[in-house]
Amino acid sequence: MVRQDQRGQAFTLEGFVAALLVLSSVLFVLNVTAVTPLSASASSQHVENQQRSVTTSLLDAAAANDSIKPTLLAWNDSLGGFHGASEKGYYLTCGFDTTFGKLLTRLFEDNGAACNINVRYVTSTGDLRSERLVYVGEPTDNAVRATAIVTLYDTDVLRSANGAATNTTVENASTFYASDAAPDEPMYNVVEVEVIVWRL
Amino acid sequence: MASLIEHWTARRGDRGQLMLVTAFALAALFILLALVLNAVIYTENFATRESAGVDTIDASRYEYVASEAVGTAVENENAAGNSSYETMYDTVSRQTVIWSILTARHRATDARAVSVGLLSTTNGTRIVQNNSRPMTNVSNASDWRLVRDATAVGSFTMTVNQSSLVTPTNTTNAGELVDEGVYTVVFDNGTDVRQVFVYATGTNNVTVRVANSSGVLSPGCHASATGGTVTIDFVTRTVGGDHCSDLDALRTLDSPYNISYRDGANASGTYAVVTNRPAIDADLGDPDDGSSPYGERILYDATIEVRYVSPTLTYENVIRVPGGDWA
Repeated sequence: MVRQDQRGQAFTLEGFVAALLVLSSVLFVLNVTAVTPLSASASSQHVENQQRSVTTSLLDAAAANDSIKPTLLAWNDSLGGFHGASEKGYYLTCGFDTTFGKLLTRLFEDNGAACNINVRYVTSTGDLRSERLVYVGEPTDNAVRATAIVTLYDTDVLRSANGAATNTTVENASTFYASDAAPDEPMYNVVEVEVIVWRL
Repeated sequence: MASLIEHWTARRGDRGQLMLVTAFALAALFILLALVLNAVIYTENFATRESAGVDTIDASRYEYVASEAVGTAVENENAAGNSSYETMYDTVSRQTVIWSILTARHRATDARAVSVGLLSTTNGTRIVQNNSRPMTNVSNASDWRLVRDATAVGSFTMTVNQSSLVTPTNTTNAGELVDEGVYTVVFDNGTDVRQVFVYATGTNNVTVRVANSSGVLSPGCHASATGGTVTIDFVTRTVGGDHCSDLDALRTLDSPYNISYRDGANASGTYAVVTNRPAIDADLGDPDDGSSPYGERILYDATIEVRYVSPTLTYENVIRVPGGDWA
């Protein structure tokens, strides 16, 4: 009887070890394939491709109807930030009150996607700088990125909060983020709008 | 009985080992499954990644914004006024270089080498009569040549005052219209000719008819005057905003050709012509002294070379950029 009790304990131990092994291999398998909505895995590859196409098309459409530039120029020269933005000067949601902003809302914000938008420009000394237009947060691993080039001219004027043109040209603005990269030419600067999109 | 207990005990011992071995086997199987799954996923991932496609799209997008930027530089020069062709070329060339450098700086962060260069520009002329006056030259001659040896006319719009036009009595052939002094725009390439007659019909209508080299007249396009005027567009071939099929005959005329006015005193109005010829002669006035009509130097178009190099794609193209709202 005593021997039989000892063996029972051994069986239980073996059972635990076996269960542990099975569970850890299941865990290992799940981790290796790692198919979760937020991970940059194959299941989201198609979604990423689609998202990238949508983002590129959005930028092309916005460039075609001239709606990117008014957004880049919707700058509050006295406060040193974009109109209606947070106190840090940039927007905190993927959408705001310009034609381009409304496009963003319809395409991304309303469809469970988030975005960051940076405006990159070259300084007069040739350095590359970036100004945040939208910052929602840190992108996930499966974020996609698309860029568009926009040329600003000395005669381009800043926009007021309602989108109307003001009398202040980018050249005469005091706090406008980009500086004049070509001081003797009618061209002001060439900026790159970088949109980073990811699903929430 | 004792032997039976011993037998059970021994069997239970065997089953414990069996479970352990099965667990190991299962673990190994799962790992194998994971590896196979991963290989499948990896393959699919690579197969669906659109790296080359993204590059070609990016290259064509770059070409588009480059043509826009150079086009704007040319348009700005054309709008700025009557500087010399060399000055306009130098300005556009300088701006193209700056734009190229700035964009190269941006694209370099994505491991893309890009550049745009101005190869050439076409010297052109814009001939304008802004204020409504007879269709005569600057020294009031009625028959005069507007454009010489043009291979392309970018735009040619005219707004004529209906009341200033002749109302001919005989309209059966071109000779009769010429005899009656009907205002005519003549397109002539030396061997072939198209005469566009513009005359008044009734109290408020304007008729446009085209005669070919043998003097046969087209049926005619009619438009009623709005505010006393009718607009004729010789490039988009419209009269009063409606398509005029008679003017299609202008498309069959081989270039280069001259454009002249005959009996310009028998019509008044405004017009603007853009051609790809540097032709400013004594018939035209200087835009700076307010004379009309005047001729102004413009850049008709620009030819640029676009380069785009990525790790998987090298793209080069030479494209023509119009200097205004013409093709």
